[in-house]
Amino acid sequence: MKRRKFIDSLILTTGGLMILPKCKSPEQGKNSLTSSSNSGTITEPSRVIEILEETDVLVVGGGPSGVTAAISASRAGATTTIVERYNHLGGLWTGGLVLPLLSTHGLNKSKQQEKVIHGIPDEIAQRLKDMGMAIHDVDPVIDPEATKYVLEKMVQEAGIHMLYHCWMSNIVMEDKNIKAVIIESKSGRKAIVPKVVIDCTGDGDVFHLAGEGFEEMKYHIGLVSRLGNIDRIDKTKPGFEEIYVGDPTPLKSVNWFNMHGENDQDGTDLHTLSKLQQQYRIDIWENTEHIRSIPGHEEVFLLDTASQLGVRVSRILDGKYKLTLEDSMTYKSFDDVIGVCGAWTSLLYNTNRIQRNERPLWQIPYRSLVPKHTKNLLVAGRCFSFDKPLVEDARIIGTALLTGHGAGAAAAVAVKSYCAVQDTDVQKIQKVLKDQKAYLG
Amino acid sequence: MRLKAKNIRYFSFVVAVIIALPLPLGIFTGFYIWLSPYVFLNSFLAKTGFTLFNLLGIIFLFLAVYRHRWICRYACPMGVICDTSSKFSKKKKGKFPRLNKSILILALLISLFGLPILSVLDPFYIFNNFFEVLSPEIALLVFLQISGLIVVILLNVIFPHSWCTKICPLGGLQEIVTDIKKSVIHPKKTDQKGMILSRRFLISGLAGLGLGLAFRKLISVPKIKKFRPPGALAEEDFTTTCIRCGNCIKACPTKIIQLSVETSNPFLFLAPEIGFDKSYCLPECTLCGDVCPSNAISKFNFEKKKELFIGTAKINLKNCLLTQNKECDRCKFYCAYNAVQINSKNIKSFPEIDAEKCVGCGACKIVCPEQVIEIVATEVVA
Repeated sequence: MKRRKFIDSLILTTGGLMILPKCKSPEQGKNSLTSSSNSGTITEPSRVIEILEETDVLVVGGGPSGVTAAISASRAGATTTIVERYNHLGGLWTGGLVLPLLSTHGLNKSKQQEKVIHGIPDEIAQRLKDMGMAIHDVDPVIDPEATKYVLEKMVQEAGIHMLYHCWMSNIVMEDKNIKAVIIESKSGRKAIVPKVVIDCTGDGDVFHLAGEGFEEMKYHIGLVSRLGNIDRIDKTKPGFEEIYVGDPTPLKSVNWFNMHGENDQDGTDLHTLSKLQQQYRIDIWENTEHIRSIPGHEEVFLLDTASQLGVRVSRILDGKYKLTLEDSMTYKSFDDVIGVCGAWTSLLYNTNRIQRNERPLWQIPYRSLVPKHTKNLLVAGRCFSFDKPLVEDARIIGTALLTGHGAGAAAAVAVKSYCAVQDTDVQKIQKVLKDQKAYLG
Repeated sequence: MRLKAKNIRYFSFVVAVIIALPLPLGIFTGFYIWLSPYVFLNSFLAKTGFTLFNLLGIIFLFLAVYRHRWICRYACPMGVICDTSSKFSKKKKGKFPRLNKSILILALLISLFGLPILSVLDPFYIFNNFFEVLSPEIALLVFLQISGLIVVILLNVIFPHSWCTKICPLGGLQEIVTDIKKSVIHPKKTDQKGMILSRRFLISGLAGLGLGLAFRKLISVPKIKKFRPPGALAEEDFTTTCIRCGNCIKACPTKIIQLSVETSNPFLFLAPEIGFDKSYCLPECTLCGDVCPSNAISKFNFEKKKELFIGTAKINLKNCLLTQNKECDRCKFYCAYNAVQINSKNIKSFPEIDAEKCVGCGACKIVCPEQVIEIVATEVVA
């Protein structure tokens, strides 16, 4: 009996060891639920998967970076597909209720605040403004439902093939190329065969599976919510007290309520995400009850909570170039610039305090979207290649929109010129971007 | 070619000038003060500790034993100034009492009581401090610092060569060393002159004892809590053992160490203190400890720096962005000591300071966009 048990466990362990390198997922062992079986792993039988479609550019994730990437690529002539896990576009910007579009402005060399967000990102902002669904000229706060609508319209106008309700679950690599991307949905497991993949997952799920190097950053995770009937707060009511009820949105009666959360949270850990989701669900309701209990606030109600947790940053790509804080502070000019960003945080630089309105605008080079090894993968959004001290300005909506725009244009050029993203002609990319009214400094 | 003593001294003068200039010299800031055995003996008798650079003072003392007034001949930058200024004197020889040995005895005795205060009469010290004249500030403090050399020059113009031969306590030290050497080699030859001087010795010795005792009585620990450089001795010891040479102020890369203008207590006057108005104490810097010749700031390394408390950060949570649900983590992000935690309760986040880890470096205070952090005196952590 004992010998048989030993052989059994030997087979299971070998099976486990064989599956691990295939998945290229070093995290899997650490995070998997410990099962009662001896080795804690199980071998999934291999199977043949139907190819759903072939496409020039596949954008994984329909958040702010995914949308601008897809629109840019499609407008530049590439057939483009977006894979999105939820039922809307805009990701954390809309469903996540992170409503401010930071940072639209930065200090230029003549010490003037200059608008830096142009091109497709600005087109989105302008449409929202025209609809009365964006407030403030600098760093506008948008209405999430209006933004979902605008993004949907723009994606449809650009002729992008949209796949909602599906989750990228694996990739098939062949000689440093992503041959296929496997998606999971109600229709089962399907493969998409793309010429170029753009990783707009925010967590770098694609480059992680492709075996690219990355830095992990444990940061703050919150859950944003919105309160309604803000305009019905009665300040004349006896016993009225001033209490924080969030910040204004384009809808007069609605405020958005940010949540910061504690530090050192792992945004790629299933247990962390589940635990925080449970806790925040309860906390937000109870906080709203507390607000309603204060005289004058009786009519305030919880309108909604974000459809996803606000993971601020998790994996950060080790790309061909790691953008540094120094680059962002010294007007560093790149030959391969694909976008110009603003900044919104105060910080310590060379031991001096630099205030928000003293922060220079900064350029994003194409190389910071390019992985070191994989030939047909680009990375946009909060997981592109930058140094940790730059995180506050790299992880925000504006930077995501800009990196998406750059990656989309580059993907289209790479497809057209049949070359690896590492060898793509930067001048051609910049020409596409300029044609799409992007600002390159 | 044999190098002449004079040329070596000129060379030394040039080096001394370079070192005294406000340049980023790191651990060599104010380096010449370490060469003086007089400053070393004062600090040593005040029991402030001993560091490697103190060996230089000892080596120079032995060189003075080996050859009479070796330091004057080869090293002292003040010698050049005295010789030059004496040339402007109309008199050929000034009548000035020979005080150098008496000053030395007086200084060392006061030092024994923990007050190396007469280190200010060291020629290296006076020379070094004069270069505060290049300081961009014009203040009484600067004038006090540069006045030493001016007085010396005036003395030499009125009484030529009086400083080096009659007053300088470092010269006195070298003379005593030679006297002792002679009396050891030729014990029978009693010097009549030495007998005469011994009366002065007695007077200065008694005066030293008296002054030392009196100062000890006078010292009262002031209740005002000052932010001293990391590694500074306890407040009472620090203010008395610091010789106000200004090395730490010059060496500090972020210029947060300043001279105190506190006049409420004479022991606080001119003692270096930290002001967190513009910058903070860099976690990777140990310079103030490295350059302190009196060891009022003891030497420390990066590891030890984590336990050297300047103060503690205190956050006014009412105006903190986090408590208003705004995005901010600057205090946490820039804390090199991991002393800030952002915690949350009922969906509200707030930063908390771990008093045992916070050394009061002031980085969070400087970066805070709402300026709601201040550095306060450390409560004694048991």
